Amino acid sequence: MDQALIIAERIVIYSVLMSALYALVALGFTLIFGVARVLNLAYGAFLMVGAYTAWFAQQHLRWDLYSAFVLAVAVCTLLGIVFYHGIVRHVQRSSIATLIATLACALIIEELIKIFFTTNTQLLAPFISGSIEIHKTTVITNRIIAFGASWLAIILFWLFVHRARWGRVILATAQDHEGAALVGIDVKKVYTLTWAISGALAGIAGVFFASWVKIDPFMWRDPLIISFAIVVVGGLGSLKGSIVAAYLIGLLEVLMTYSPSIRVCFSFRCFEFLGSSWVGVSSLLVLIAILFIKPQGLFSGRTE
Amino acid sequence: MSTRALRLSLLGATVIVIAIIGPFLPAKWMTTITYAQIFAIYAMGWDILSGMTGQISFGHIFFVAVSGYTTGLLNLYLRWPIWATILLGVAMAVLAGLMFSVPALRLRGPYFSLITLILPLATARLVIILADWTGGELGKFGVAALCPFLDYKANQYCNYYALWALMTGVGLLLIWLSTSRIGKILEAIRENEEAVEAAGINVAKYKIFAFAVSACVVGLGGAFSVHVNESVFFNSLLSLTTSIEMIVASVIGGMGTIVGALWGGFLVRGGEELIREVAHWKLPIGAEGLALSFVERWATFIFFTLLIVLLFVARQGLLPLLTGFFRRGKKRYAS
Repeated sequence: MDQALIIAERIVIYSVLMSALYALVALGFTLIFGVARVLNLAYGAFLMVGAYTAWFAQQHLRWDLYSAFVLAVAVCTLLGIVFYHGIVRHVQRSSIATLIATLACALIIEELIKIFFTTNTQLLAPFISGSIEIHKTTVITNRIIAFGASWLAIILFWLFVHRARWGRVILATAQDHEGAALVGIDVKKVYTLTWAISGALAGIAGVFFASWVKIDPFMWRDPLIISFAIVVVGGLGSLKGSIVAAYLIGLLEVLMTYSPSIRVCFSFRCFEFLGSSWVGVSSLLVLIAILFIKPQGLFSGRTE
Repeated sequence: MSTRALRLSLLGATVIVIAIIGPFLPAKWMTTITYAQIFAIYAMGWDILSGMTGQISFGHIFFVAVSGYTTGLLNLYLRWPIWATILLGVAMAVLAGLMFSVPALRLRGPYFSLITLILPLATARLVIILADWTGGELGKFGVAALCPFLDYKANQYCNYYALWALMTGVGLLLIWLSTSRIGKILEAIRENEEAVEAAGINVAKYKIFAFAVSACVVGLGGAFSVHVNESVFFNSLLSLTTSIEMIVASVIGGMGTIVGALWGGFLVRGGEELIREVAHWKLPIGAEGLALSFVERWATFIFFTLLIVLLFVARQGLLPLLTGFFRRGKKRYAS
């Protein structure tokens, strides 16, 4: 019984930590959709650019991680702006063209990274190494920092949107961009700002995601799928929904890691039913199920 | 010339050229064209659903996987004859298409595209979990060959023309379909779904039909590819890149035109082979290896960059561009 309690505790702690990162990952993605109605399929690649920038600064330029982090965020912010003005602005009118162009960009970034940094898996040194023990559960310190930073970023973002002048301008544009244009808001400027913020969030998320998992040219797929899942479950463009959905999906993933697996065999050929090999699958299946049952997401699709 | 006659004659001209050049091709290019024909079938299958109705599917490779794995594994483990496995593989693809279409109809625009992107990713994970049967990422060899000849050359010819026949048949059928009343309704759905609904037409019925046809065609290609490859191979049955290349092929050729998708298919596959070919040209000593790795490394990059350029300059695609040019020229003559 005691053992079960420890495992339950561990599941709760791990999922709370991981979900915060997931929420951060989805934030920039949902922001762009909420404001500009653009599904940025290159968002995962943005995270990857952030991760590689930090890694490059750390490994090759010998910077400390804090400066590398700042550089990564700066590069991603710039990338967001360049991406909007260079590509998205010209194809935005057709949602199909936007989807194809952003996906093509993701693959281009993957290809460039393969060319310049090979397909090898890289590791980012953590902000603070070591681990601490919370009530019999060992937690890597860096993950606690990622958790704190994620929530800090989310809260700052929320305050910006609801309190700052430009944040409210963004909110107004999200609700009705024609109306916003009518009252004298420069919509193009707002979009530029939104892409910049989305890029910055991707940079932050990228560094933490990389220090949590690993860095390789294919790493953009996981954050993109996570963002999809969260944003779809939470309702596209809803911040509160995204956070709740992030916690649901995070919990599910961690539960999968700890769930006992059942070995199913037919004539000497076997597979594991549930268990850690199902970690990625479970959230995908839940996502598909939710899309089928309630296509609008579990929460209202209102932009907040 | 009516649209149907124009497209049919363009298809006719294309397939006749392909049939004639077959024997004159070097062995390597013959293989390339054989695979390009399978890919053209995929592209046309994608086009009849996504090109016509405007519901962009990112995951048509899912149908290739369903049909391919059904076909390959049935043949491998139960030793069913080829015709039976292909039939059942295609049936499974159609079934998957039908099952998927009913709920997918509730999704519009980006939501639909999202779920289609996720479907093959989920399938890929399942294939790896079931690796004992499917061979996982390594695949399984030993599927029966499409052509029964012992001679390599004869087999190559047989594959080439078998797929040629399949591609021609599929092309004819899809062009006929796309220019029929059904095709017009599908196009109308793309332009304005509410208006079609308001006209008293059951939109859902037509979409489901398009889904089934699309899944059937793509599944057919997938089933044949397994028997041509003589293996179930993860990278060819579940590659996200192939899924996106179908879109690329159709966009290059002109979405919703079928012939355009077929041309696009050949341009994509042929272009890739051409890049590889150029990379192998004789170069001054020393530069050879360098150029080879350079071109091969940058091939995908160049490919996707060209795609984005294409989205900027000619979104409507090759065929509409050509016919538009042709029509304008004719008008100038008339006046």
